[in-house]
Amino acid sequence: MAKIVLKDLWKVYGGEVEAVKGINLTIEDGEFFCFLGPSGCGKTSTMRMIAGIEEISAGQIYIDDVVVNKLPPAKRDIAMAFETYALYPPLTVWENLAFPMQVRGMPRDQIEKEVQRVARLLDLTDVLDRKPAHLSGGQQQRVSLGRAIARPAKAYLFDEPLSHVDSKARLRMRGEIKRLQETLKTTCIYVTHDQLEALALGDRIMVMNFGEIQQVGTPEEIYNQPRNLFVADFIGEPPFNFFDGVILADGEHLSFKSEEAGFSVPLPDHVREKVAHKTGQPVKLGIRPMFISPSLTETPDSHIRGSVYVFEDLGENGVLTAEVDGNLVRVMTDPYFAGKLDDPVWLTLNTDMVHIFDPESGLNLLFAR
Amino acid sequence: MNPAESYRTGIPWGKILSLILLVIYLAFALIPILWMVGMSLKNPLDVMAIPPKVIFEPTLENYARLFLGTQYSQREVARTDFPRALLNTFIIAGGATLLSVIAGTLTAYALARLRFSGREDIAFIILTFRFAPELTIILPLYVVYRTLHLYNTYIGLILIYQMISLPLLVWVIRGYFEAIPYDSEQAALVDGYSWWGAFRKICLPLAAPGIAATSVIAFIFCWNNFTFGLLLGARETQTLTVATSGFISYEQVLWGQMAAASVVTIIPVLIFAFLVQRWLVRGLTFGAVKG
Repeated sequence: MAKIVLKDLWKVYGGEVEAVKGINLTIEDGEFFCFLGPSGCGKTSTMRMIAGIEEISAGQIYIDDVVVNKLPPAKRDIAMAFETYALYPPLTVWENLAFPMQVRGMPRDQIEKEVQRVARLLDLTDVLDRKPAHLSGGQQQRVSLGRAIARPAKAYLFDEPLSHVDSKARLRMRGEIKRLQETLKTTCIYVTHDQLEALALGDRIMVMNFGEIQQVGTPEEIYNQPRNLFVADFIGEPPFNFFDGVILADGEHLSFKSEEAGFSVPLPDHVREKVAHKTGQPVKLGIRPMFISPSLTETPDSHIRGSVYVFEDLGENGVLTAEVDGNLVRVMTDPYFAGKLDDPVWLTLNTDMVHIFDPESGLNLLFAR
Repeated sequence: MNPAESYRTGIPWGKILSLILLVIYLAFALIPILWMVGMSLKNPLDVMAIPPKVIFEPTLENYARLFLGTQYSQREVARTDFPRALLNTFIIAGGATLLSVIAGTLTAYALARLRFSGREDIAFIILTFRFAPELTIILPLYVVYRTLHLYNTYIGLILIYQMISLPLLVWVIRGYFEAIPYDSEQAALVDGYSWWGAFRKICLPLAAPGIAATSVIAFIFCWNNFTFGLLLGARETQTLTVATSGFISYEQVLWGQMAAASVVTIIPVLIFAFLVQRWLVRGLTFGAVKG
């Protein structure tokens, strides 16, 4: 159980490559915290600095209000599952799982009990006496995860622990990890590039890019109130749709007009007050695919005319990609959408759900402070 | 006839050529050794016979003299230095190898894992020990050894012999350590092991076959050294190579005994070479690394 605080944390490799650029973050005791971002965004470097296996270039890390910058990893009492598994090749699965407990001098029968418990949880009972070289990638990754959670620790760090597990087992293990954390109430940090995993697991999420924090918030905040274009684009599948255009004033009312897509939508009241100062200036309008509804016939309230580019039936729902003046717009539909290739299609935006971004700073004007 | 068939039915020139080359090489490599073994089994008259005798009556006299001494008349026995030299060489080459395996493994680990300024420079300097011919440094070294009373001592010779083995060990073992994923070691650190614990439990077992194989090669290099033994050692610390050369005296060359000494000298080396071969073939396995 630990509160982890990062203060102006920097990681510079070889004096040149800035992997982490001055991160300030507080991870509360007992929180399930996800680091989310594309590869090379600095999330793993941040985690490795917390674990103590990467030197801190500048700044401080506090674990339970103690600066741990100079503490060796063993003294930090943190467990970590590595993305590369980092198993011990000369040892069997059993010995791998027992390894961290042995160094703590736990009695043999207790170690045996813990190993059996973890092996059952992660479906490793049959392979306990095998060496890592004789396991599949997914099994190795589960051993690595098991080694981390087999012992009590102040915090568990998971670096993409499910990236090589097949999709069915991944869903199950995701649930197990979540349940485990909720039972133990131990602080967890979970690094992933999979936004779904982060949304499903995290109490809070830090979205990173280029070594900087893009946004920190609950999954709901991240999903519904993306702070900038990067977060909006990164979270959600299929991703956000963006349109370039300008804000136009018509007396009291404001509207967004896109020349290239050839449409104009009125902006609702809660948006108006936030973007009024941008009147006449170029902005980006963003909207999630689920807030656009398609129609094969023109309706009085439809905004955009396009054509069916492709339709994917995913069983439970469908994804329509419409071509609007050379740009592709993605729309969530029911799976019964009947449009054929190149059929004309009319799109209606749920204007209550639009976001307006400043194209220069990328900030979401609705939530800019 | 299509090309594939002509390839199959035609004369395999490539194979024949490589076979011929192999035979030539084998002859080149083995005939001197066979010649030497034969010579070591001849009596002095047969050794000197021209044309050389291929068929002769073998005798173990040379070996007996090597280990038991030379009988002049029925009673007098000249003491032999050869067994002592055998022991000396084991002590010196073994000691130097042991010393450089310990120092070299740690050095190699530091060079492979730690980030510090001048790392490559240090690695290079260690390699430069092998650049200069031994003879170029032997004179100043002789003076230093005299002054420090290291001349003609085991310690002194072990210290200088490890200059032969250390660079080899450092550079080869460093490669082995670099091939071991750092993550496994770091995982051990996070799991609660000290640096030493992680090194001993994870790194060392994985690099052990490589370290062993390289040590044997280093030992052979030390074993075969001549210059250092000749110039920094004397009668008490005489090595095999020096002792063997001693059969060339002012008056005569004792061909038979010299051949016998050479045979005895290469036997341990041969045994070790076979051991290395086995280890090197087995190689290293890094099963738990994601490909």
